[in-house]
Parts: sequence; structure tokens; C-alpha cells
Amino acid sequence: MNKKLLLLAGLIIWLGTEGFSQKNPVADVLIKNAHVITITNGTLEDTDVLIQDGIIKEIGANLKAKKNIPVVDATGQYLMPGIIDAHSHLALEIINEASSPITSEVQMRDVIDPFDISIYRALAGGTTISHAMHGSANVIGGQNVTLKLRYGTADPEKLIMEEAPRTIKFALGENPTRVHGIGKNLQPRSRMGVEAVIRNGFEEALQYKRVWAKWEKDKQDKKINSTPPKYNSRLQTLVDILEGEIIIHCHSYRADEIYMLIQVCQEYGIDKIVFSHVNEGFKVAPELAKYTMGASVFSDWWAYKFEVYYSTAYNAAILTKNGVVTSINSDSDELIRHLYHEAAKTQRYGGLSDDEALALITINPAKQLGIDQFVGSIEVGKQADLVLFDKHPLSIYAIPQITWVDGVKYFDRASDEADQRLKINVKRSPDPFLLSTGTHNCMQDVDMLFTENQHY
Amino acid sequence: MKAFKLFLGLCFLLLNQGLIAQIEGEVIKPFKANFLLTNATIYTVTNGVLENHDLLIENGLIKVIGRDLPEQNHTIIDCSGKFIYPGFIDGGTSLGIVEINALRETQDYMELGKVTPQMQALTAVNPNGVAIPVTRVSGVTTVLTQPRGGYFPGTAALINLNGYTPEQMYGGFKGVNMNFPSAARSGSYDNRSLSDLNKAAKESLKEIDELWEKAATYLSIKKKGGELEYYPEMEQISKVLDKELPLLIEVNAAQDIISALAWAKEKQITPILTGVAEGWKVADKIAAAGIPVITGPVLALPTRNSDKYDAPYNNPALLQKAGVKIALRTMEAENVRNLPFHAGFAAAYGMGTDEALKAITINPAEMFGLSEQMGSLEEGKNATLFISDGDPFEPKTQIQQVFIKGYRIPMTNRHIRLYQEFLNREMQP
Amino acid sequence: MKSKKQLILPYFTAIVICLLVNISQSPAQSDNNGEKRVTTSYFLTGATIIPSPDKILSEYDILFKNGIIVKIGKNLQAPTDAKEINGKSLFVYPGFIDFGNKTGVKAPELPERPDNFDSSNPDPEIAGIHPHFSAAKHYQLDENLEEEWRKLGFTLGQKLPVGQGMLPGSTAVVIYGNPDNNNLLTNLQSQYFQFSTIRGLYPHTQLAVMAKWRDLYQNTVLHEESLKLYEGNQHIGRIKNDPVLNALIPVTQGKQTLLVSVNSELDLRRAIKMQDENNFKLILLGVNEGSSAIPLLKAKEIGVVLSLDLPKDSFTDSLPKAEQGEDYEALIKRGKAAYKEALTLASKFEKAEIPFAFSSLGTEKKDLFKNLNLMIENGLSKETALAALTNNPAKLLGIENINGSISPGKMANMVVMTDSLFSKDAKVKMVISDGYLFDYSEDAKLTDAKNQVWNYAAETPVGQSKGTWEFVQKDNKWEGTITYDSPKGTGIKKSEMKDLLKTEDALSFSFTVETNEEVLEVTVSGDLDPDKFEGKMNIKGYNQFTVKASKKVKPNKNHE
Repeated sequence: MNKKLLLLAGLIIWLGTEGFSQKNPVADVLIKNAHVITITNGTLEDTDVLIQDGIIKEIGANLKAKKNIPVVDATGQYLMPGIIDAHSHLALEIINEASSPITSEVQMRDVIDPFDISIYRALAGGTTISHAMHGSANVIGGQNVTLKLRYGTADPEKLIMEEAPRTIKFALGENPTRVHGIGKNLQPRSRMGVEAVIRNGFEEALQYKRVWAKWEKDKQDKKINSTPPKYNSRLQTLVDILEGEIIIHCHSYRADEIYMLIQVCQEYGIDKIVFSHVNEGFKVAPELAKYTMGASVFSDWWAYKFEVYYSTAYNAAILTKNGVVTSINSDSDELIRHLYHEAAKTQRYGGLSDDEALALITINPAKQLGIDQFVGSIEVGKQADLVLFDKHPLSIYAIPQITWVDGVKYFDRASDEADQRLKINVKRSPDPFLLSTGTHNCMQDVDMLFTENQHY
Repeated sequence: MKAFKLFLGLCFLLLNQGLIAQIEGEVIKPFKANFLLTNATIYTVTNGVLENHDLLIENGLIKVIGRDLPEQNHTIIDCSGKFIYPGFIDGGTSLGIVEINALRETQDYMELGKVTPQMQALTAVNPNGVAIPVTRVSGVTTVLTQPRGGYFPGTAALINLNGYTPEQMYGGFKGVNMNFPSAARSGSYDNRSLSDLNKAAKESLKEIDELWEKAATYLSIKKKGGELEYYPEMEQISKVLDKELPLLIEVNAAQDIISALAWAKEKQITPILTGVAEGWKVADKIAAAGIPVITGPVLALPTRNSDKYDAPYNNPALLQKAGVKIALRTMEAENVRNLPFHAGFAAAYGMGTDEALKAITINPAEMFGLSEQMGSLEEGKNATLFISDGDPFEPKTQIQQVFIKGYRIPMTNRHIRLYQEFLNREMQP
Repeated sequence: MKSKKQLILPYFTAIVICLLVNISQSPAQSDNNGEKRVTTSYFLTGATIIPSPDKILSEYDILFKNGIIVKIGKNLQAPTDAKEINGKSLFVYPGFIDFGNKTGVKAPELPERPDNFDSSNPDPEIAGIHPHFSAAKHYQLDENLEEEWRKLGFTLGQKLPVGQGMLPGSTAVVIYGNPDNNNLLTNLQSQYFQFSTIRGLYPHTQLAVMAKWRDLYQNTVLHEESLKLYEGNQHIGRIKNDPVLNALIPVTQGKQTLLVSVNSELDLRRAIKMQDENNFKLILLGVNEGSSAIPLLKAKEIGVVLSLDLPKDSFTDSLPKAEQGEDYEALIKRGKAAYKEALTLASKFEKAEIPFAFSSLGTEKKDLFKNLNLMIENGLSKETALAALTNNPAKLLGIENINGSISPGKMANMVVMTDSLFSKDAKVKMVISDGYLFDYSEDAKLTDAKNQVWNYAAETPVGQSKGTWEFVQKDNKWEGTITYDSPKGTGIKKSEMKDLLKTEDALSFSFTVETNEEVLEVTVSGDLDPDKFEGKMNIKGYNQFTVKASKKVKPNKNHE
């Protein structure tokens, strides 16, 4: 039996028995003698990192571990925190519920596809966490889900990072106005309408909250003179946003629309907001720094549609230098495989330091997702999501070697084999060639009835 | 903050050395002069690496490469500690023929009809496209820009990224594009059976063969001096038959590549294959046929779900090692500037930097029959080159000055100007 | 005979058992077509009876009367009023139950989209959310509609409502009995749910289906609370009638099962999640993959109905050598393994001791037993396969006290086979459904490739001309007869075929027809598929007409 079959057999055994175990898999490992890029505490040379039960237990020189704990000799190699992608549509069966300008009730955790081969490919690129987002068809889209890329399970729930706070997708500009205004004759048709839709939603939510509060109080006072109000998870979710329980991640491009939403949020007392893509964020960098949880940008995407025509690849640098918590995201199953390289581009476009550049794909996205106390840096007590590179990760020649999530090794270049599919499409033989592989999918599942073109 | 100071320092460094960054209110144009680049490490590509050498640019050409060249009314650029490379060539883009892809009004890369070989990409090149200066400051100085769609989408043209008219930009190579019919599925939604796919591909190829036959008839009448009606499509294809224009065949799935090789043999032509995503599966066959390949993008997803994750990264190296002459392409418009990074990935995944460098310099120049003019740093060749402070494949490296045919290119563009304007905004919230 | 009957039933009738026979006959007309049966009492003797999967009774007699099994035993006294059937060498099984089937259920008429239609907030019925509809209401009983199923041994089926949206309505259990009867057994059996939507409106994808379900569930609970409040308090304003929520109350109360149709492993996981969130009674219909969820399904005691549909083997046909890549063999190997996985799914549920049923939904009739045998070849025991067709579905439907096995007091629903079930030559000889006897013994004989009956229809200027062809192969030579309406108007005529030529893909013959004036020479020729014919009928001296014919799988025979 060759190695590949063994690996497969292992997977199958796990698939066959996982139905019951509620806990996610964790493991122990001792990584020796690496350049440890901690992100929050500089780079430690010739340092060992000990992981126990999926948690970083110790960082230091000449660490000793119990017997049976696997040891990885990382001499000359670079260990960094697992890469976090704050804007992705990886491992999602469906991306857009494009049928209404507000769909705050829908939840991406309902449509996780654990069989997506892109998960393995992302791991091979050192990514360990992806923020699986609703698409950008609606002004207020669905509730996103933060995934840990625990490839190998058939259970969608096992990919969910349960510690992560709730987040929701908003979208401004061309996509919602095209899908709803042009496509369906519904507001918004313009950036004015986008603001109006958000305000309408918030006001309805406040009213909803009052109605329920009154009913609950009457019930308590035993003064019942009406029937209970209707339950509405769409409005309830908006109430939760207003109460600060949900972080907004807003697809946006232009400075004016970004500024608009900052204003609206200020008015409604919302400070948990991250702007995503935010190609013109550099124009309102001081405002983003002051009022938001940051900006998650592309390294260099621009000009593919009109609202990104006046972009600059120096965006991340300008934002960083203005004190905005900035991350670099992929929004693509292709880019998510080399976010370390995307981060490196900020050294060409704006000369960010190594630590600044690497923060863009580790601790900063962790902050934006509200998970920085668990991941995003190599610190004792944090979860052992790690990636080992043969060269410095910002070098074009760097190749990820091993990727761990919670101490469990999910990718090892040394033993990587072809065909890592978990599930075979029985109806399609043997495995189709897919050149037009869609990599950008912010507008996936938007019915042709709603819109003619697909743009991100 | 440290990094910021470092950056400002860098800016001053640039200005002091006569390397150009735009200052507010000032308009910088490309200009031609005699430049003496001194004390550089010169990556000639064809003659190894020359340390502490000077390079003299005169009349748009590389006049001399040597040590301690004498100064004579030259604009001197001190390149101590710096590197000079030949301008990079992207073997497949739509740069210049699309401005904003989502806006159809700006898509000039596709014409109606599936047989439009006479459509000239060069005609549609907008010399003032915003992406052109964005691209060239990265050291990518020359690109093949090509139409798409149908069996014969049109004629691609090599352009240098400097000039006020398409003619001034024209780089001296044209080739007729052809999309080889594919028996592969066109996407995950494609549910046709394998035999249906093969049948469809065969039928398409039959149509192409019929066109080819017509073009042969057209050519023979033309050669005999017979009367011909105006038939621009056949006129253009007949030029391929007559070896006046090369054929660029886009083909990607392994089985299609094999069919394309057989087809080319049957037609007695030596085309350039483009795309060749699954070339790694049939590399020896391509090598045996002696047909060159322009492949890429390298930063791409595998073409099959069962492929190894790094198959596209490895593809150029596997082809090259099998003996295929390789050039690289990005298939980009606004992000052709990423070509050095595609080459860097190819280098890291088995190709090595030397071969990866050739794949974006001398190899495409040779494929295009232009190795006398471009693709390496040699005396007599066009002065299309750039100065960098390090390995140009490394993102950290700054490209400090680009020359295209002897013109010093302003090292600015809209991205840089926006940076300059917004880095430190005057009005704070 | 009576063509179509629509079953219109009182809304809240939970269980209706139809035992009475043919009361629709007008009293003064006796039975002038000779259709009535002589007795409702049958005595089947000396058969091998499999009353439930784990028992075999050899050479037993069985007496049933008025649709009820009266007695089972050895050497029983033959009752005087019973029709006797010799069951020697025959095998008797409980009638099969199809857990999900749409035959005969019509799509409901939905309201038109208004001019100012707002796709983000459509009327529930337009959005395919009409749990207040019922399959029973849209079930149109056609004489022969269930015949094909009954011929396969099915005596009972759960009818699913038709609709594209997530909540198309409630299901009904019907008997595949005498079509002259009202055969509805239970109405509002369960509430049907599917992960599908109507294009271009809300809910548009599974995302919104899940969200909409949660809202509907919560609002149903609140609606019920409101109704209670309204009953006991005169100061509360009128509650708007809400048929959608009304229909869902039994589900939230745990009185009615939610039958969730699943097409994939991901659907299956979603359904489990729905139940996790709101604890209702759940049965999964059409399970076709997802063995990794078996422990979970078992722990949660979720009802499982497997699909009888199996994927085609698309991995044995190999590509031409030139087109095979380096990794081709490995890919084929994994493809084959995945195919095998689909075939072994049923056996995995068996090993996990989850009692499952089967649904024919999406399965072609001709594949039904082929697929069952494939599952058996891949590890499913014959006993469990039988259980999945009989007592398991009866239990899941809550009708095990009257159905699913053969014992006194239960409905007389049985399949009589020529050999033991799932053996190679086993054919359905008779089906007893609701106490009616349907004799397919002719068919059983005729399924033999050497005896074929075809129905044909020719388009002539004076209308369609129909009839049958019967072929018999003797000593490797085909002989045939043709029936047609006599041109003399004297009923159906039968002629011998002449010059009969029948190969795998072609058929031709001629025959003569006598009219009042002359004798016509007619030639038929055309292309033959295994069970379809298309060709020309040429009447010498007249004209040529198109003729089409199809082979009868099992020629029908009147039920007694």
C-alpha cells in the first residue's frame, strides 16, 4: 500500500467515525530551530515552538517535549502564524441570495461545502482561516462565517471557528444598484438609494425592537391585550448589529460611499465595521483610522470595473501609514493560495517593513474578525495555526512547506500527492478539465434574471 | 514609523540620483538622450552577469557595454550597487485594447464573428491607456497584445509601452491568433458526454480545415496572379500558409495539445502554442515537435480538481526541462505589471531564475524573430532595459528607471500620483 | 369505464379506510357489463408465505375477505364462499410500500404574479410556500396510473405534493387498489419540505430557504400562542387567518412529521441541522449519499428513506488510449470506488441497524429491481431489502398495525411471486391490494423474450387506427398476429402477419384487410428499438401512413 492510499484510508476512517466526536481535532508537535516570525514580538532566531493540544505551549530555545510528540526540524526555515483571509468565498456552496436588497437573515454557515478542493489548495498556500462571506449583490447581505480550514471532514460544522464573533456582509456601489435597481426595478438604483436602504433597515429594526420590548413587558406585567408580534430574523439581525453584537464587513470601493457608511454608523452608534476591498480607502484613510476596525484590501486589483478605475496599488501602504488596521484579502480561490506574495507587494508599492507586510495577512485580519486573542501571531496560549516556509515568506521564492491548524498537520509539501479530492462526482468521469475556473465570485449565484454581467 | 522614514529616505535617494519621480505641477515626458549608466551589475541574459560595467545608450540603442567608459556629453546615471536588466516581455496580454473590462464600450479585444483573422490588435491599441504607464514602471516594457474569441480572433501585435501612436509603439512582430477546438469541458457546468465533446471538437476542426483549404486555394490563385475578389479573411489566413505571418495556436488540455501538434504537422507549419496549461502532461511530445510555447498565467488554479495544487506553478519548468522553448505571459490587461512575479513563481517551482529570466526576455524575442533587436543586453540592440536595486522578481525590489528604445521613461503613473497626493492628507477628520 | 376520479376529502380527515366495494353501482342496473366480482373472499393454498422478512411459512394457506387477512395456517378448511387459488410453488410477500412517489399528483395552480410584483417579498404561494396544499387534493386517480407500480409489487404509496418551492404541501398515503374505489388511506400524512426554490424571487437559494424555515417555525409557534390567547380573551383583536402557519402547527407540535427531500450529502447535513435547532419529527427522503452521517442519524433517531435511484457506472467505459493522461488510471480507480460507495450505501445503513425505507422518486421503473439487486450484490441482505419495502415504511408511516406484514387482521396487501424475491427468475404473478386480486400471470409468461405484445397506432386521414401486434418465437422463427378495428364496423379483427421479418433493429410484415368492397394488402416496415417502433404503413393502391408502436413491458389484464 503506498503512502497516498494510506493517507486516503486515514481520511476515510476519520470520515467514518467523526459523526459522534463533537470536539475538533487537535494535536501536539514540537517545531525546532526555526526563524520564528511572531508578528507581535519580532522574529526569533533558532527558536523552538512547542504545541500541546493544539495550543502554543512554549516558545524558546532547546525546548524538550514528552516522548511520542512529533518533532519537526525546521532549521533554516521560517515559521509564521497561519495566514488569515478576511474576505473569501472559499468552501461555500452558494454565495449570493440576490433576491432582496436586505437579506441579513441568511447565514453562510448553512451552505458550507467541506468538499471544496480549494480548501486544500489554500492550506498549501499557508492559509488556515478564511472569512467565508456572502456575496455583494445586496446592500445588506448575509451573515458570514469564519472558517478554520480543517480539510478532511464531511461535516460542515467542523470547519466553523466557533470562537469567532458574528459578522455580516454589507455592499455599496455598483453591485447592489445593478442587481436590484437595474435588474429588478427595486431600490437602490443609485448610491443615494444605498444609503436609504440601510437607513430604512435600521429604522425598521429599531421599531421592531420597540414592539417586542413592549410585548415582553406587557407579558411580564400580565397586561396582555394583544397577540405576540411576528418574529423577523431579518430585523432581529439588524437589531443585533445596532447592539454591537455583529461586526460589519462592507464591500465598498469609492471614498464617497465609504464615508457615507461611516457617517450612518456614527449616527447609529455602530463602531464595529470593517471596510472590504475599499479601493479608494486611501482617500479617507484618516476617517477609516478614527472610526472603524479597519480596511481589508486587494494588493493590486484595479480597473476591472468603473468604480475601481481610480485605484492605487499603494492603498495598503497609505492606509497602514495612516494608522488604519489593514489587511490584504483574496476574494478568490486562486489568490488565497499566495496571500504571502500579495502581502509582499506592499513592499514594492509603498515600502512596508517585513513586520508591517506580514501583519496584513495575520494579526490585522484577526483583529478585523474579532479573533486576535486566539490567532494571528505566535504567542504562548494562542491556537497553533502555523505555516512553515523554506525561505522568508515575503520572498518570491518562498514555498510553504507545512501547514498546521490547531497543531494538526493538514498540508505537508514533502508528502503532497495529486488528487486530494474528498468526494468524487460519480456522474462525471473521470475528472473534467476546467480552464475557465471561476476565481472571482463575489457575484456568484446572482440569477441571470437579476443581472446581466458578473463583476466582483 | 521607522519604515516611513526609510521610505522618505528612499524618495530623496531617487531624486538625488537623477532618477525621476513626479513633483507636483511638473509634467514629465519620456525623453531621448545619450545616457551612460555606470558601475552597474548587468544581467545581459545572453552573456552572463557583468559586474561593475557601464552601459552606453545612444540613438535608442545600446552602443557599448564595457568597463570605465569615457564620459562625452552623456547624461550619467550612477548605478553603483544597482542592477540592469533587459526590459521584460509579456507573451500574451490585452494591454492597450481594453480600458475597463466591465464596460463593454471599452472592450476592444473582440470582434463579431468567429473568423476575423484580419482584425488588427494594433489598430485598437490606445497609447494613452492608463494601464500602460502603470505597467512599464515595473520593468515590463514590451507586450504581445492579442484579440480573443472565435476560431481566428485576429492578429496580435507586439508593442513597446511607450509612444504616441500605435505605430510608434509597434515592436516589430505580428501573429495570427487561432483558438484550437477543444474536446475538454468548458467549465463545471458543462455536462456533455466525452463522446459529444470529441464530436463537437472534430466538427469545429473540420470547419477550420475547410477554411484552411479555402485559404490555400486563395493563395495559389494569388501566386499565379489570378483575379481575386476582396476577401480579407482569406487574405490574412493565406499569409500564414505562405509563412509570411506566424500562427499562434491557443490550446490547453493535454489531448487538445496532441491534436494541435498533429494538425500543425499535417499543415506543415511551425506555430507557437499559447496557453498550454496541461503542457506538463505532454511536454516530451511538444519538445519532439520543436514547437515553442508561450505559457501562463503561472499564478493560476489547476485545470482539474485532481491535479496537484502546484501544477500551474510547475508547468513552465516541466516544459522547459523537457526541452521546450518557453516564454511566459500573464493574460492580464491592467496587471501585466505582475509578469516578474509570474516568472518568480516559475523560478521557485523548478525553473530557476536564469531560465525564468530568459522566458520573459530572450526566449520571446527569439520566438518573435526579434533576437537581433531585443531580449538581452548586447551592443547594437534596442536600449530597452531597466535599473533596479535588486532581483526584479522580488516584490521588495524597486525598479528605479526604465528605458524603452532609449527613451527615459518617467517613473510615475496614476497609482504613484494618488500615493503622493493622499499619503499625508492635509485635512484630518 | 369510469375514467377519472378526484379525491376530495374533508380537510381534517386523518385516516380513512376504504373497505366497501363498488357501492357506486346504480341499484336498478345490476351489473350489465359483468364487471362485479363474484366474491370478496379468497383462499390461497399451499404457498410459501413470508409474513415478515425474518419468517418463512412453507405450504401454508391464507384466507382473506373484504380486504382483510382472516386466517393463516396449514391445511385450513376451505370456506364455501371463497374463490380458491392454488398457491403451490408460489411465494407470498407483504405488498411493497413506496415511501415517496408523485405519480398522479398534479401541480397546483398558483396565483398570477401581479403587475407591481415585488420579487423580494412575494406572496407565499407564488414563492412555492404552500404547506396548506395537499397531495390528496391534487391527486387524480386514473384507472391505469398505479397499474405499473402495482405490477412491480407495490400496493401502497406515499404521494408527494408537486411544487417547485420549499413547502409544496402535505403528503397522503394511497392504496394501489381497485381504481373504482376511493383509495386514500391517510391524508396529511406528513409535511413535505424540499431544498428547492422558484427562480427569480425570495427565497432564491438554500441560504434563504434555511432562513425562511426558521422564521416560519418561530412564527408558527407564535401563531399558535396567538390563537390560544384569542380563544381565551375577548379584548384581543381578530387574528388574521394564516393558512401557511395553520398548516405548520402540527409540525411544531410534534404531531406531524416533516418529510425532507435531500439530493446530496450537504442537503442531508442541512436537514439534520434544522432538526437540531427546532426539535421536530424528521424523516429524510431520497438519501443517496452521506454514509459519514450514519452515526449522527442513528443517534438522533431520524427516519431514513433511501433513493432507489443509483448512479450509472460511468467509469467502466474508458477513454481512447491516446486521450488518457498519466493519472488516468488513478482517477478511474477513485471513480470506481465512489461508484461502489453509492452501491454499498444501503448495506451501510443496514450494518448501522437503521431501519430505512425506499422511495422510487426519480427512479425509472425498469431500474427498480435492477438497482435493488445491485444493492444486494453490494452487501445489502435480502431480508433488509424486503423490510425496507414492507414493515420499515409501514412503521415510519405509523400504519404498521394495518400494513407491512402478513398476519390476521391486517390489510390484504400481498405480492405473489413465481420464485423467491430477488432471485433471478422471480416474477410477479399476482398482486393482492386492498383485498382485490390483480392477476399478472399472463404477463409473467409474456415477459419471456419469446412472447411479445406491442401496441401500435397509425395516423390515417380518418383518424387514429390502433391495435396490437403479438409476436411468438418458435424454433428461432417469429410468427405474429395483428388486431385492428374492422372496416366493416364489426368490432376488432385479427389477422396473421405474412412475410414477417423481425431483427434487432428492423421489422416488416404484411397482412390483408377485408373491406366491404375489396381486400386490401397492407405492408408495415420500419426501425425497431428494443421497445419502440417507428415506420410506415403502406396500403397498396392507397396511401402511406406513419405508424408507431411500443412494446408492452407486461401486457395488462383485467383485475378481478
